[in-house]
Amino acid sequence: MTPSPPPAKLPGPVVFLISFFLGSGCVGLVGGAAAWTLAKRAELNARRGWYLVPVVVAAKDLTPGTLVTMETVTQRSIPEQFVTDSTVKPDSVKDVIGRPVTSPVAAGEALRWSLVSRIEGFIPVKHGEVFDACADEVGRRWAGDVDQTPAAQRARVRRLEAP
Amino acid sequence: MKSLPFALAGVLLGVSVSGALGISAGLEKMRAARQGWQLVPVVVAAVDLKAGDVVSMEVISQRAIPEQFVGPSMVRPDEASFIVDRRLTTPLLAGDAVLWASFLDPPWASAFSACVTHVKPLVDARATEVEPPRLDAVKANARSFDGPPPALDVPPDGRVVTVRRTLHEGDVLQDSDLAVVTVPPLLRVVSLVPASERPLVVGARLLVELEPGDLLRWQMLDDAEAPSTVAGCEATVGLDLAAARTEAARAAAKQWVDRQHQPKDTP
Repeated sequence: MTPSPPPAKLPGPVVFLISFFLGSGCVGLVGGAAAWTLAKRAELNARRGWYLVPVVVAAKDLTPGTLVTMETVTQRSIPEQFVTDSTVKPDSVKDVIGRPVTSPVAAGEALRWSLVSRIEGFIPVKHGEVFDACADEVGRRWAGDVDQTPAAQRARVRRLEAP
Repeated sequence: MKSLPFALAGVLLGVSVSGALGISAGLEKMRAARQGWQLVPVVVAAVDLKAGDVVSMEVISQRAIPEQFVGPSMVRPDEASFIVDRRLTTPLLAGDAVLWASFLDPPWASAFSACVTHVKPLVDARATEVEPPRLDAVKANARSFDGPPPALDVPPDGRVVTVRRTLHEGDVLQDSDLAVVTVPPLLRVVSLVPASERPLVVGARLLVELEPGDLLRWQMLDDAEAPSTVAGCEATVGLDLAAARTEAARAAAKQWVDRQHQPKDTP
C-alpha cells in the first residue's frame, strides 16, 4: 500500500490573501446589514411626527407674470402642520392653471392663493388677447419695479422705511 | 503551523480595513438619511391676519420645520424685526409661514389687474361691434350650399389625403400640410379626399382641428373666401374677430398704461 502524499502547503502570501478576503467579507456583510438598519432607523427617527400631505409647488423658479401651467407647477408632499387653507392643494390646481403668479415663487415652494392673480370674470387662457396686451404693456412700464426673486423681495422689505 | 501567522495577519487586516470602510459608509448613509430633516425655525402667523393688519410680536410666532421645506421666501426669526410694525398686503392664516411677499404690494400685480379690468370690457364691446356685421357680410357673400362635396367616387386604390402636421380650426390648407396614404378597403368611404383631388383642397379652410396622420374629409373643409356652410362662415368671421380683439386689446392696454405713466412724467 502506497502512503498518501502529504497535503500540499499553500505559500504564506496566498494564505494571507485568502484570510484577508475572508475576514473583510465577513465584517463587510455584518457591517453592511448593521449600517442599513441604522440608516433606516435614523431616517424614521428624523421623519417621526411629520405627516406629509400633497400640495402644489412651483416646478421651477417663477417670476411675476408667469402663467401657472402643468409644466410650471408640480405636486410635493409637505408636513401637514404647515398646510393651511392658504395653500393650493392638488385637487384645486385647475383653479390656478392659466393664471399668472403675482410674486416670485422659488422652485419647490408651495403655491398660495394670494400669490396667484385671480380677477373676477377673467380667465387668461380664454381672454388671451387681453392677457397678452396687459402683460406686455404693464411689464414694459413696470419692469424695473418688479422683484424677480424672493431674495430681491427680502432686500426690499429690509430697506423699507419704518411706517 | 508555519502559515498561521499569515492567516492571522490577513484576517486582522481584512477586518480592520472592512470595518473602517463600513463605519465610514454607515455614518455617511445615516447622515444622508437625516439630510433635509434638520429643523429650521421660521416665522409663522400666530392668528388669522387680514391684508392691512399691522404685524406685531403678539401676532407672530416661530415654528421649526425640516429644512427641505424652508424656502427663500420665508422670513426667519432672526429677521423678524424687519417685519414688525409693517402692514400686510395679503392675508395670512394662523400657521402660515410669513413671506416677504406678504409685505409688498407688487406694482405689476395691481397694475395688471387694473389694466385687465379696464381693457376687457372694451375688447368685448369691440367684438360685439365687429361680429354681427361681419357675419352678415360673410353670409351674404357665401355661396349657396349645393349638394354633396365633389367626392365623386370612393377612391378605388385606397390612396387618400392625410395631414402632416397639427392644423387648427380656420387654417387654410397648404400643399406642404398634406400627404397621401393608402387606407385598407374597410375604411374606403366617400367622405375621404382621394389623392387625385389633392390640388382641389389646397387653399380650402379647415373647420376642425387635425393631428398629423388624420385623414382629411370633405365635411372638414370650406371655401376660404366664400364659405358655403355655417361652420365655414363662423370660422372666417372668428379669425377676423380674433384679429379685431387683439388690435383692440393692444390699443386699449397701451392707452391705459400711457395714462398711468403721464402724471409721473409731468412736472
